[in-house]
Amino acid sequence: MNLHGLLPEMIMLAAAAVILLNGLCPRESVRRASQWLALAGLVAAFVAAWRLAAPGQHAGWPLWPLATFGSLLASGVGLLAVLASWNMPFKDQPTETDSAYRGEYFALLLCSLAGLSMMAKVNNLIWLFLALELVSMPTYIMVAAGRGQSAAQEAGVKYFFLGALSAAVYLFGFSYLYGFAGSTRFSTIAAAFHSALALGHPPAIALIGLLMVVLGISYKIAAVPLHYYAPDVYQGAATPVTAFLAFTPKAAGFIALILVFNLTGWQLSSSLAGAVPALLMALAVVTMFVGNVLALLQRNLKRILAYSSIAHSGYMLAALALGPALSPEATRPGELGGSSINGLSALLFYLAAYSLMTLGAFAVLIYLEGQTGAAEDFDGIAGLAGEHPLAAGCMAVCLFSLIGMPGTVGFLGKLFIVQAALAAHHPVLAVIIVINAAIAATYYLRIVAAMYLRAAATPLTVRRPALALKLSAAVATFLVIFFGLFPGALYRQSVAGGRSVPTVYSAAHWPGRSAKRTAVGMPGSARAGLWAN
Amino acid sequence: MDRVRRPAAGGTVRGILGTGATMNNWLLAATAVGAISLYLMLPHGRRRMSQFGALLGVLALGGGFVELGLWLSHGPLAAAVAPAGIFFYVFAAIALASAVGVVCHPRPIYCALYFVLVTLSVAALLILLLAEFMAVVLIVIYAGAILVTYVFVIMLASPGGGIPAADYDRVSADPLLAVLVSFVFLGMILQRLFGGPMDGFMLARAPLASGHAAAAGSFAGLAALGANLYAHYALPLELAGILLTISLVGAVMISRKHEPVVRILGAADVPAE
Repeated sequence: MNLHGLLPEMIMLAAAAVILLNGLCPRESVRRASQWLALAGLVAAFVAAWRLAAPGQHAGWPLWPLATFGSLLASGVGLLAVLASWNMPFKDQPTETDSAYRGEYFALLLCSLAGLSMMAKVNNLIWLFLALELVSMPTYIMVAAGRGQSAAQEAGVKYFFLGALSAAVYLFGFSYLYGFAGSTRFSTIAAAFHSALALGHPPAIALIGLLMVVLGISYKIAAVPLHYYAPDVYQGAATPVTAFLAFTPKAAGFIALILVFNLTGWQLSSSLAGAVPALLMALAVVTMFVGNVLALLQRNLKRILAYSSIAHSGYMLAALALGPALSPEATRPGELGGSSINGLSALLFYLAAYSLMTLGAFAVLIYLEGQTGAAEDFDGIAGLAGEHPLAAGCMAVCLFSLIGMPGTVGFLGKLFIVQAALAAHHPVLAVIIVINAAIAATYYLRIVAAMYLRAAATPLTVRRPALALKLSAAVATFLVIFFGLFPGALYRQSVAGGRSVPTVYSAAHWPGRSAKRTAVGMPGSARAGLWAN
Repeated sequence: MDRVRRPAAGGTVRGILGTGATMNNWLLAATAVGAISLYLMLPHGRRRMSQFGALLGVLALGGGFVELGLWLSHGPLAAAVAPAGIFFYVFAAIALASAVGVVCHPRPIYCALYFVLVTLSVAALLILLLAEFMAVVLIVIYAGAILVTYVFVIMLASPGGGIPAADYDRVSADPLLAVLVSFVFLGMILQRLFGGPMDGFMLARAPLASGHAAAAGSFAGLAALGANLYAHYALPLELAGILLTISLVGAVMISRKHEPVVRILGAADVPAE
């Protein structure tokens, strides 16, 4: 990969630099251009990523489809995030006409998206660490800088300290992987894993490193055991920031996990090494149940969405645990969905679907904040359908999609994961996912019921929210339905991304592999009982 | 951390280098003077004699440096220490003065900043010894990680808004005991280094002279690190730069006082949205 492959990220970072300076301009009208600059930068990055996703680009880089999926996701969903935060979240007083942090906010947002966008383009543990922190560092600042309220300060401190802790944990894991392979280059580590697995099982130091990486990154994706921060931080942060948090670090964390497990060649099946995919599966199940059951107990909408985001991490972890292998007996071409989708394709599809539907739900919450002061609990949205039918409609569609109702993109996302689980002979996992979807329906429908069946508790005072905000909710809702009915484009990108991850180690998959370490040969047929199959 | 004071000796070259010589009395006296001067400078809650203590300290330090310089320029180590030249004395003086600042300044946050200065000047001394990796690690760990934690704790624990600091922040606890313990320890180290015959510990430094020449010729140390960074890790390096810039922006955003935006940036020239 040459520098041309990093064009979307360079555009985003350049736009961030321009916005940062623009935000310091003494004229308020110039400062107001920050949003437009962010929008323009992301559109340009999206176009660049789209051109890079064309077949034949960077053929020597095997994970390229995954990389472009990350770029498209970052710039595409980033566009919606910019629209959703058009009304600046960092005003000290609601009466102020401008926030001092307008430029900084959008610059940070773009930097974080650039980190997500380059996530799958890294080929080195050091670079992976820096990209992950480039995603997280701006979000720490965005949470802590919000609203000047004690809740935001508390959320910021919690988020930052726990984030630093988790970064230390997975960096420690990286250092063990380095100690195991003698290099931070992905190609060398993959070769080392391959040699060790061919000889029996990898040394404990490599497995401990892997476990620490999973543990540390489970913070980024808000999965058990590092999920505790999510409700407090989601509640304390300004709502546009929460919407951003619900999607960016999670997407980055999952792509990072794919990259890390790709180093093992997805072949951890011997007695000791097999514990890693088993642990992943167990984490997925626990995360689903913890998120969904605790969400039932919440009254605050942002907390409900926080626990729901934990639960959705569980579904995606399950897809990750299924790995990249296609079930050999069940590949019938021409069947949409079919069994031609592997766990990672299902994960990528779900990631995009989750981003759209959760962003749509949060966009409606932001819209209501602008309208009614604070729509934080069930009373705040009671009777919404009568007062703001369109907003209630958008919210309802997004919630139905989060449940997984047919006709929405959320349904297809769950369907693909269940299909992948059945194809990989994990019927119990499929059943658990369906049970959890049913539990989740309870609390999502409670919100819908409050909007449609209850009368408004207090008359809603009308303020004028930005058109862009309405646009973001509408576009997200439209895409939720559109991709639910016509998933073609999203499906193709996800399948390409998921299938680009090799299921068998081959030196050819690792361009630029150091010639020093030659892998011990392993017959291709020795793939029986690999990874989690 | 306790200050390391004065590798100084009032002794003669002959006294130190003589085989079988015991720790000479000049060295003992200099250590004792240093102890007294530090005791006088430590914050006692009321100003007394601290200027006099500082004067004593400066005199002892200056005398010690002159003695050390004379001794080094005539001994067998002359060739080894020549490349360091004046820089050794400059950085050693900064390190020692900052170390005194660490323990003597009445405000904890300044103590922490003096500690940064100690770390940086000791790192400079390590670079003079060709221990470049040690220098970098010292800065990364102490000035980077540990000190940030200190400052966090100090910020969280100290009252703001003009409230005077608590007694335990302004007055050193048990100054006499601390000075006694640390200077007895210092005396033991000096006895080991300068009190006995020249032994392997000191002479091991002699090859450094040839080491300097070798390092200049080969592509080693910091230069190799830099070349490696830019040749193989150019993109991660750029990324780290962006990360640090973001952190800086965030630090300014979070620590800035909340004022009306108009006063900070400029007047509104369009109506509210």
